[in-house]
Amino acid sequence: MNYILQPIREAFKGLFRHFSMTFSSLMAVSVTLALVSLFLMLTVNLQDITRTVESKVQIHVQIEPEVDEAGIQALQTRIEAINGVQEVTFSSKEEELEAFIESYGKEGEIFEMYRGEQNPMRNAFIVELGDSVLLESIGNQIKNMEGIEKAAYGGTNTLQLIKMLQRIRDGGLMLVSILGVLALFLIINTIKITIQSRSHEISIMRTIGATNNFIRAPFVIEGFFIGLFGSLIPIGVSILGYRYVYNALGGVLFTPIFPLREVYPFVWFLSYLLAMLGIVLGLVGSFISVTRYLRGVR
Amino acid sequence: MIKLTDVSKTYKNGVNALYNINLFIDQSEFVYIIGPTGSGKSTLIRLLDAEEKPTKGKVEVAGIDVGALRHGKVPYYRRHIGVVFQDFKLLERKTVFENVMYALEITHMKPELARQRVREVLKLVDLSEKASHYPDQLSGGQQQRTVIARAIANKPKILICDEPTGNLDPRKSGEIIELLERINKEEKTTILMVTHDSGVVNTYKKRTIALDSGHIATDMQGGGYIQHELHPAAD
Repeated sequence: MNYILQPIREAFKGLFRHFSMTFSSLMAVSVTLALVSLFLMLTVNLQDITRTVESKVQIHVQIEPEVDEAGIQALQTRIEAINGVQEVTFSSKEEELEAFIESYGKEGEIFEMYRGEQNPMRNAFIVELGDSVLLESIGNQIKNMEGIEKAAYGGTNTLQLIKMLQRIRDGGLMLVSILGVLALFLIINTIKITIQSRSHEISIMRTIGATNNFIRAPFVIEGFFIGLFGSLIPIGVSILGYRYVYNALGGVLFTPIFPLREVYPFVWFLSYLLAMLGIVLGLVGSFISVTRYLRGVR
Repeated sequence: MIKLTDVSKTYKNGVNALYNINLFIDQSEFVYIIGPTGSGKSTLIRLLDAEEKPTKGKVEVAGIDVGALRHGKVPYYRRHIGVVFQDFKLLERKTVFENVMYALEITHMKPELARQRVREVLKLVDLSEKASHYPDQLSGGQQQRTVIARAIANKPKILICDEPTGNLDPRKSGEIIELLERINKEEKTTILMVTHDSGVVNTYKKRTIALDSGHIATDMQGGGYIQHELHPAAD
């Protein structure tokens, strides 16, 4: 039992007796984890938004009025056979008119006179795609089919939006990875300074006959607690901050097309991740620093 | 107990610190090592403490070939020898009690036994009253007695003292030597003491080995501070 308790007790003594060093290490961990958290929140939401936009990408295909029912059936089969097409839904010209009227809300009433014989709408297909990258090429393929009047997919604007979102998301992920590595270096360096300031202490321990593991254990445990305690501030700030921003924006980013990730359980997942990251960084950072120092001491 | 056979030590920078040293120190002996700066005294201690390996020859302590010790075995070896330094080397953030206790904790001794042993040695060095003090709250003599308490806590067979009275006034120096004599007699500990202090050597007569330029100049069984001949450095 003493094998376990002794280094833990030593670690706590070390944390309190070298308070200024402990404080600077805690701050280093807190600041980097807060940045990691910020970029994670942004990346996760951007990923969600990109997915939402991608899932809403459809091609609206208008069929020439001369095409009969058998022709429509044949066209549907041909479109469904195109690689990358996920689903093709037929929408009759009556349904198209109703959707059109509905899209105008109350003001749509003026179009109600077109019901029946006067209906100017065309029978149509709503084509959904598996991957938005294929949007342009599939759109062109359908447009060139006989019996098709028009294939609309929002044109280059939609494509550019999707590309931009993907780029921002990839950039965010890269930043999180770079920040993770930076955090590790920052923590290693901070702990290295702590250990250098205690090198005299370590050399005395060796002189008395302490093994490397005995010397290392309290430092590694200190690293664990610095990582854990250092993650508490960013965890608190992330939970409160994300909840505040989510409520302030009403759960969406500018428009309902861009919904934000719901606060719970997202913040719990984020907290768990930050705590784990802090602990792992603290453990690895202190282990590397002490081991490097001890290697040079006989 | 301590046996050096044809021991030479040349540092990486080319400095020749010891040449063909042959030396035997028996169990329970109390020996002074004297000599001017650069005579090889510190190197001798570093060899005995396993901080350095001999370039040539064999260093044996209590039957252990110290030069052949692997890095991982060094700490275990050091638990059998106690070292007392001129600059004390106390852990500043630990109390007197904790400093001595640390030497026992590293051996994983049961806490209650360790605490009892700490109380014993603090009583022996007359520091029971100062157990809860930090090193910077102690006088030089008290710090040195703490170091001695730490060094003997594990009941080492050998106690190596590097200028233990170097920073102390003559009265305090006398107290330290008397304490070491008591440890030597009561615990049968072999004591090897490096010193510059002629007063100590002349007052408390012991076997005295004089080093000069890496050689043993004289080995006086009866003790006494001698004016030894200087040996030319053999390059």
